[in-house]
Amino acid sequence: MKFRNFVRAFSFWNRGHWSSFFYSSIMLIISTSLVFLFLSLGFGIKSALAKIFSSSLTSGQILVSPAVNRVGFFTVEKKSSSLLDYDAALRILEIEGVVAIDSQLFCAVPASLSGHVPGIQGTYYTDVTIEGVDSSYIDDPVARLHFKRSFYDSTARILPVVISSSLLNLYNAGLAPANRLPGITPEAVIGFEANLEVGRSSITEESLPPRLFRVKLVGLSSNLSLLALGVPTEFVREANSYYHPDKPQQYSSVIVTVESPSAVSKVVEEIEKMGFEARTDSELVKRTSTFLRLVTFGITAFSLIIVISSLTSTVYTISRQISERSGQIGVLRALGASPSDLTKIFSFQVFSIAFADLLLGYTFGFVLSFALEYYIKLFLPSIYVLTGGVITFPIILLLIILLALSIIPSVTAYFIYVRTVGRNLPELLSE
Amino acid sequence: MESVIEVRGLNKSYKLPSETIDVLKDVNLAVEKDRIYFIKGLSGSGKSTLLRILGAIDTDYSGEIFFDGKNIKKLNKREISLMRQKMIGFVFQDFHLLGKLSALENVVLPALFADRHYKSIRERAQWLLGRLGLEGVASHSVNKLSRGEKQRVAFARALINSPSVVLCDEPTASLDEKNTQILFDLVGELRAEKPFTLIVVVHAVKLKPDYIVRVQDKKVEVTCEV
Ligand SMILES: Nc1ncnc2c1ncn2[C@@H]1O[C@H](COP(=O)(O)OP(=O)(O)OP(=O)(O)O)[C@@H](O)[C@H]1O
Ligand SMILES: [Mg+2]
Repeated sequence: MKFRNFVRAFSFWNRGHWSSFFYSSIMLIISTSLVFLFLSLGFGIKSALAKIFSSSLTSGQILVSPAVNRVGFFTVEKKSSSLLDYDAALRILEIEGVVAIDSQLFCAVPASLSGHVPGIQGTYYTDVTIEGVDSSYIDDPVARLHFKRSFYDSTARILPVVISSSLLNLYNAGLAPANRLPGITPEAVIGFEANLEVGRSSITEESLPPRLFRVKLVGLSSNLSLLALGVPTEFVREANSYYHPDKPQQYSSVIVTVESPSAVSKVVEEIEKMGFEARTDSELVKRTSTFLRLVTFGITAFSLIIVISSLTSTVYTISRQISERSGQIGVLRALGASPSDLTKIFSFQVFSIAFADLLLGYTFGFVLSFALEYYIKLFLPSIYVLTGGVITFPIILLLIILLALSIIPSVTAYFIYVRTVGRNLPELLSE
Repeated sequence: MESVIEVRGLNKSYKLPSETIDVLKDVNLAVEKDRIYFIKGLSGSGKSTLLRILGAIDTDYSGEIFFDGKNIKKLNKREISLMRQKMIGFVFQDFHLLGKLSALENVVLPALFADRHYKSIRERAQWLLGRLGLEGVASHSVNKLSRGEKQRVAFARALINSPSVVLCDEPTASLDEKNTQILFDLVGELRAEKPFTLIVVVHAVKLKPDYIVRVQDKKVEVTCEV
């Protein structure tokens, strides 16, 4: 068929039907962009949650702590609990399969932190728990080297500290947005300085006078308890023995590294026999992964619903359009249009529209997602910082799904059409 | 005499869910080239059915039909389409025009698929419409035309590709005497230019055909009128 005749036949064929094509196009574009937005958002949320819930316990590690009963926020030590002290730590180290232990020394001395948040008027004051940790809690090798400080050192030397990364998450997720404070990135928080008063808090006070230290944040750790300030172990040991010379030194938790992940369960058994609570990464992972799996399931189910419903509605619309026009197809065939001529016209139409819709939908979805990301960055910066962005673009997956979204209806339409065109002529004409 | 359509042992029945209606039984017929045939018969006798079969619109029958020497049943879809484009002009009893298109567009449609040069198609379409007294409504959408106007548009459409066989199912049913005359005058004029076979289902016209095909009791009977 000559190109100009084809174009004319094409426009004749569609005369009076443009609006229905316009509507089905709009439908396809909207569903495409919605799927795009939803998937980007869904995957973004999933990876953000994964980031929040991730534990730095790698496989083959066990977190040992005194057996406690947890009642909401309070933890009550069990009467039968054994003391997680230096001896206990040594005994744990002796268990077959244990390679190393990193301990968190419990500080029995009350303390408080005060200072002022940069960029904001006024000062803050908060009671804190101090825990003695070793330098393995710090990522930066240089900071690791300098992670020591004696309690008895009366110079103005800085006391290096580590805080829980969960605390930063909590701040970014809750405190900052609630108080209209800016979000803080982990990078920005390093180097932060404050005053630490050891020996006194807002509720208790040691009999010996408190001491004041200038502290500087050198790292974040996800193994530290939420409201604890990690300081060098020798500092805690000295503070404990300064204020309570008779009290045994106790660990709040010990991280046990096992030689291979397969040895974990055996070691856990031994540790529990000693009367301690042992949590393994697999448990943590299991707990978070159940949640993440739920989120993933939700995302998948919801996207599937969108995809399937938009697929069926598009296929339905197109097939209805074709069957509505089977009389027209019959007339054209009676006038000498061959099925292949008609199929050419139809394929050109369906596939070009599908392609245009896909392109538009993809672009539109991209713009929507970016707009949402921009909005979050602008108005909920703390969430943005906490999660590192809630939009991700699984480009390949999106492309596959959106291609399916445009190709499946087109191909279905094509087959419906070919079948219609090939029907016997009197039957077509009678419709 | 050379025949353009040959019907051998044609049987046609319609299968309904509950029954089978036999419309034509063992029909044999030879349509001579460039002659005029009138098909007559009572309503429901099978005139339209026969015409659709002769015009290769309906290929669901038993028996054999040779159109221009070719067995229609042996042709594939493409070949039948080609035959419809080049050789057949068909006017349906209920027109089958595309309502959203203008009269002119309806008339040029068959020529688009025959892939002829558009300018010459258009000129011929305008000329045909003009001859049938439709120049005033050529650009109007067909939906808005009167029945008689539609009938003439359908007629013009059947003639656009200068087919060698024109089959018309009651093309004058909605026309007054004057317009019927105009239509047959046009036929005469076109046939003088380039002869073609004309097969028409008619009830009462003054014009005399070469042959009359009478459909009655599932049979056809051809009588020569000249
Ligand atoms: N598609 C069909 N399905 C079932 N029966 C049909 C079909 N088309 C026609 N018939 C039946 O076949 C018979 C012949 O119909 P046809 O249309 O050929 O008659 P006709 O001679 O053209 O009548 P009229 O003068 O009223 O147009 C009628 O009884 C009709 O009911
Ligand atoms: Mg009839």
